[in-house]
Parts: sequence; structure tokens; C-alpha cells
Amino acid sequence: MKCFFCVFLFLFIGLSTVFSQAPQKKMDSLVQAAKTANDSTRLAIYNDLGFYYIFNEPEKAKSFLQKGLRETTTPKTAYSKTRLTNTLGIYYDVQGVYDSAQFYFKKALLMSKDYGFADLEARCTNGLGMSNWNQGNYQNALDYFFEALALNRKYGTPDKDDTYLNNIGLIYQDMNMADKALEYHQKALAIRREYKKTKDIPVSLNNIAINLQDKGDFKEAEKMLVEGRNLAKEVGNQDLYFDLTHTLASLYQKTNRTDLAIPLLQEVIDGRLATKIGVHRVITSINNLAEAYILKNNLKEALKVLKKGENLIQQFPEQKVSISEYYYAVSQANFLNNDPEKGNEYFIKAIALRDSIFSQQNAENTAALETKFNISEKERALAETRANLAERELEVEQKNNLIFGSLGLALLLGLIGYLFYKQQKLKNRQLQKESELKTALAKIATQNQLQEQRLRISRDLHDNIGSQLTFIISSIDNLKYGLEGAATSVTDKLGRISEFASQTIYELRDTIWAMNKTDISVEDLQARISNFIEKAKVSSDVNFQFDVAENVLREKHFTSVEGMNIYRIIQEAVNNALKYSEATQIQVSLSKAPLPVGEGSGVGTSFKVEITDNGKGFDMEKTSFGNGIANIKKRAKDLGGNVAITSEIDRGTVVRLIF
Amino acid sequence: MFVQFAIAAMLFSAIIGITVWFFNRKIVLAKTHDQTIVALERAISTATFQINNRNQNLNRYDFQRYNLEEALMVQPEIIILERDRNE
Repeated sequence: MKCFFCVFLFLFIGLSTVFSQAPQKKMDSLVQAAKTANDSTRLAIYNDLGFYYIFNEPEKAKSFLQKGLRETTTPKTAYSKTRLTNTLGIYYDVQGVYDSAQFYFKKALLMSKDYGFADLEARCTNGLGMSNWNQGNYQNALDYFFEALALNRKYGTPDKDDTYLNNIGLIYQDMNMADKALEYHQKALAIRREYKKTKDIPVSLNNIAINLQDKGDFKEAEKMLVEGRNLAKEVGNQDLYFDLTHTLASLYQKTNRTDLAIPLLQEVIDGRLATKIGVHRVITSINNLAEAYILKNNLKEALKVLKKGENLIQQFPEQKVSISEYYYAVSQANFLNNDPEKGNEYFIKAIALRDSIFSQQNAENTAALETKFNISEKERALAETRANLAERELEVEQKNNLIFGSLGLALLLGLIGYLFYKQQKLKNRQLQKESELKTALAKIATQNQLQEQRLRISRDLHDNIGSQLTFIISSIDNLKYGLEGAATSVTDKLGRISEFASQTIYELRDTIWAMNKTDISVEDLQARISNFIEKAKVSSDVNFQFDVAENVLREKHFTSVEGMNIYRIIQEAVNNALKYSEATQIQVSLSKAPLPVGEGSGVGTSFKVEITDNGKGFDMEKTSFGNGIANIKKRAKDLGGNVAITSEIDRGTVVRLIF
Repeated sequence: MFVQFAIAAMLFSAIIGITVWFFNRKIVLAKTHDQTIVALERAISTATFQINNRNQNLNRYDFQRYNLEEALMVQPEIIILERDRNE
């Protein structure tokens, strides 16, 4: 199937090339070839013949096309059928039967889409564009041409883009959009040059030159026209050659180079008349040449040229614009030739014809203007819609940006707030911990400093007073030594003073120690008392016993003064027992004692210390107590308790302390 | 789109930057705090030791030997702050 289409395409391209220069002979040979060709080739020939005859023998064109369509009965001929349908559309379009043209173009387009003939799809779309253009529907035409271009770019080959680009340029040209027109004609020209489409290059050059002239760039336009003219001659396209020559001559006239214009116009006139190609356009060339001769004051030649037009205006009455210009030229020439009558006659004819054209043209112009206005209105509305859309999009985008930015900022602030809060919390915890430690440190440091200061003061006190007391003792001892022969009472007195001073030192030391040592535990006290008793045991034959009741808590703390007093009482009582009782057994006990009735009823703690010996005892009423007992009683009072001493002859003595 | 991307990029950078800054600050605070705690605990420990040392010396006082000089041991490293005379 693909090969089949390739053959078709090749034939089509080949035939197209042939046709660009095919004279009638070649057409006839093709007709002959069709008789013996196979189906596909024959149908291709019918199509191409039909296309050829559209522009000069339309009835023949229709005949060939319809003949071809009748033979496309099988699915194998789908391609040919599509092509023939499209070409039939062209036929009706050229004939001005636009409804039929639209019908056949759309039919061909549908077929090309159904069968997947992408190359034909583009051509059918182009056909629709041409049809719309011919009806003055520029915007629709433009849309179709652009669509055709897009289709060709998608499915076709780049070398075919030039046709569509050229058509787009022509539309813009008709819409007086010279810049746009130039843009697309330049693109078409570039493709034609690239692919060496020599027969089409002059067409592009001509179109470009026309637009350049409109823009006033005569120099560049002249270059284009000269090149185009030479190429047209080269490829043998006479009609195009004459067109380009005429346009070049017009350019020379516009740029006041009439001498150059005259031979060219003469060539065009003679050439067209001789070859009978585009004869209806000779009238315009005659008008221009006459104008040129008039400018050169060569009235004779002007009139001579104008004479040639007389038959032509009869032959082509539909060329109203050219004819009115012809009348005007004849009128002017006659006026200048001093024939006012004839001049007037033709002047009136010119005016009359111009009026009829004008009104017709007015209507056409109005319609064209209206179309252009509608197009521009639509474009404006479209642009406005686009602008509104863009504005709305911008608004939405701005709002989105604002929301996005606000959310982002809120998130950022939230994050900062949270992190700051966490940091503050941490700092607070740290500060609290530091504060607690600082408080503890202040407390302990103060305590430490206070204790240290007290100790230093105590030490100083002891050093001072102690040394003084020691001095007193040593002085008294010296005195005693010095008073060896003195009365005993004196020495006794001195001895007691010395002993008192010594006792004072001991008391001072105990007091100083108690001042610095805040408390003493039962355990510590027990250890000291045990230590004392051990030493006493060593220095005597007495059997000692020291008990601490179990109900006395070892963790219990006495104040240092209390502990000291308890110890001294025990010490004094034991020393007295050792000194006086001749006991063989001394028992020391510490226990908890119940509170006496009426005193707190069990609230608080009461201790009992008992020192019992099995010595000889003494008569309580006859014995006077010395300083030792007085000290015991004083210490008991300091403890807040009382001491009771009971003794019986030969039964021993009990010293009971309760506090 | 570009604006949104720019905002997102700035936001991301700001978040990263702020997080890093706070993290660094936290480390600095923790370090300072640890140093303070260590110094305070050391001071408390020293004071406690000195108090214990004093008590131990005081416990050496023998009720029979009256050895006060051995019990009252001055610790010269303890600085006694003098009260302001103008107070």
C-alpha cells in the first residue's frame, strides 16, 4: 500500500513539474496516455488534466474530474477519489460557486481524515482556505491556511510549506498588513530557494516586491522584481514574466524613471498580445505606457498606444477599472492634443464608468471593510478576553502568592515562636536548677564560714584565756614553791586556787568544744564512755559493766552540752566510786525512762543514767558532799533533769540521773 | 510560578537558618549552664568537705585529755567575708 502511494506521489510531483510548463501538446499526450494506463495512473491523469483546464477551459476540467470520480468505485481508488473531490472543489471555487466548492472541499477533507491521507488533508484544508478567501472571509481563510501549514509540518515534508506560507502572506496582503505579509512571503521564499523551486521563486519575489513598494522600499522591491523577472524567463513562465515586467515598469514610473518603464511596458504589451497570455491585463499596461508617453510629452506615441486598446476594451468589458483608466488616459491625451471634444467625450465616459465602479466598489469596500472590521472586532474581543484572562490569572497568581507568602510567614513566625518558647523553657529550667544550687551553695557556704569563723574565734579565745589561766597556774605553782616554809593553810589555799584554775581551763575547753560541735550522737557518747571505762578498768581492779538499753536509739543525737554533761556526770560518779566506795563492781547504764505521772503523759523522751557500785556506801545524812557532787547536780540541772544519790552502808551507792 | 518558587526557596532557607541558629544557641546555653552547674557543685562539694573535715577534727576531742588544740584545726583556705563597715 505504501509503495502504491509513493508511486502516486511521484507521479503527482512529476506531473506537477511537467504541468508548470505543459503546453496544449503535452495535455493532449496525457489524454492519450490515460487511455492505455492502469486505473490508478489514469485517475491521476484525470485529476491533473482537470486541474489544468480549470483556468482556461473549465467545462473540460469538470468533464475530466467527473469522469475520474465515476471510476473510483473500489476502496483501492480511495486516494484518487479524495484528490478528485478536492480538485472539483477548486473548480467550483474558481467558478465562483462557493457553496459547492465548500461542499467538495469538506467532503475531500473528511475522506482524507477517514483514510488517513495526511498530505491530502493539508491540501483540502488549504482549499477551504482559498474558498473562504475568495468570499472575503479573511479570518476563516487565515485559520484554514494556518491549519494546513500545521498539518503539512506534522505529516508532510518541509518543502511543501511554501504554498501555505505564500497563501497566508497573500491574505495579510489583502488585509493591508504589509509587515505580516512580508514575513510570510519571506518564509515561503526561503523554502523555495532551499528546495530550488525555481518556478515558484518568481511568485514569491513578486509578492515581496509588491509589499515592499507599499512600504516605500523601492530599491529593495526593484531588486526582487529584477531577480524574479530573470527567473521567470529562465523557467519559461511567460505569464509570470509579463506580470513581473509590468510591476517593474510601474516601480520605475513611481520612482520617476519613465525612460526605463517605457520599453518594459512595450515588451509586456507586445508579448501578451503575441502569446495571448493574460490578454485582459494588456489594458492596464497600455494605460501605464500612455501615461508614460504623456509625461514625456510624446502625445503621438501615447495616442498610438491607446489605439491598441480600443479592441481590447470591447473584448474584456468586465475590466471596468482598467477601462475607466483607459478612458481617462484617452481623454487626457486628446485634451493635450488640442481635441477637447474628444477629450471631453472620453472624460465623461471615464467619470460615468468610475461612478458605477465606485458605487460597486463602495459596496465591495464597505463589505470588505465590514469584514475587516468584524475581524478586527473579533480580534479585539479576543485580545480583550485574553487580556482579561491574563489579568485574572495574574490576580489569581498574586492572590496565590499572597496566600502562599502569608502562610509561609505564619509558619516561620510559628516556628520562631515555638523555638523561642522551647528555648525560654530550657533557660528557665536551667536558671531554676542554677538558682537551687546557688541557694544550697549560699546556705552551705554561709554555714561553713560561720562555723569556721566560730572555730577561729574559739581558738583565739582558748589561746588567749587558756594561756592566761596557764600562766596563773604556773605562777601559783611558783609561788607555792617559793612559799615552802609558809603556813599549810596558805599552801592549801594556793593549791585550791591552782586546782580551780586548772578546772577552769578544763571547763573552758569543754565549753569551747561544745560551742563548736553542735551535737553528739548516742553512739559517739557511748563510745567515749566505753573508752573512759576501759581506761578506768585498766588502772584499777574493779569490774566494770556498761549497758545501753536497746530502746535507746543509736541515731539519737544529744546536743554537745548535753553529751558533755552526761559524760562528766558519769565520769564524776565513777571517779567518786573508785576513790571512796572500795567497790569491786561498778555498773553504768543508760536507758529510756518513762515520764513521771503528770508530766506530759508520755509525750517527749526521758533518759535515765544510773551508776551503781557495790561498795561500802555511806550515811546520806552524815556525809557532806563536795564540789564533785555539786557539779553533778549543776550538770543535771543544766540537762533539765535531776539527779538522786542513794546509798546504804555496805550496800553500795546509786547515782541516778533522769533528764 | 517563579515567584512562588522564590518564596518557597526563601522560606525554606529561613526555616533552615532559624532552626540552625536556635540549635546553636541551645548548645551554647547548655554549655554555659553545664559550666555553671559544675562550678556550683564543685563549690558545694568543697564547702561540704570543709564542714566534714571540721567535724572530724572536733570529734578528735578527748574528754579526758582535753586536747582542744587538736580539735580546733583552722582551715586557712576558707575565706571569711568581712561585713561592710558602713552597713
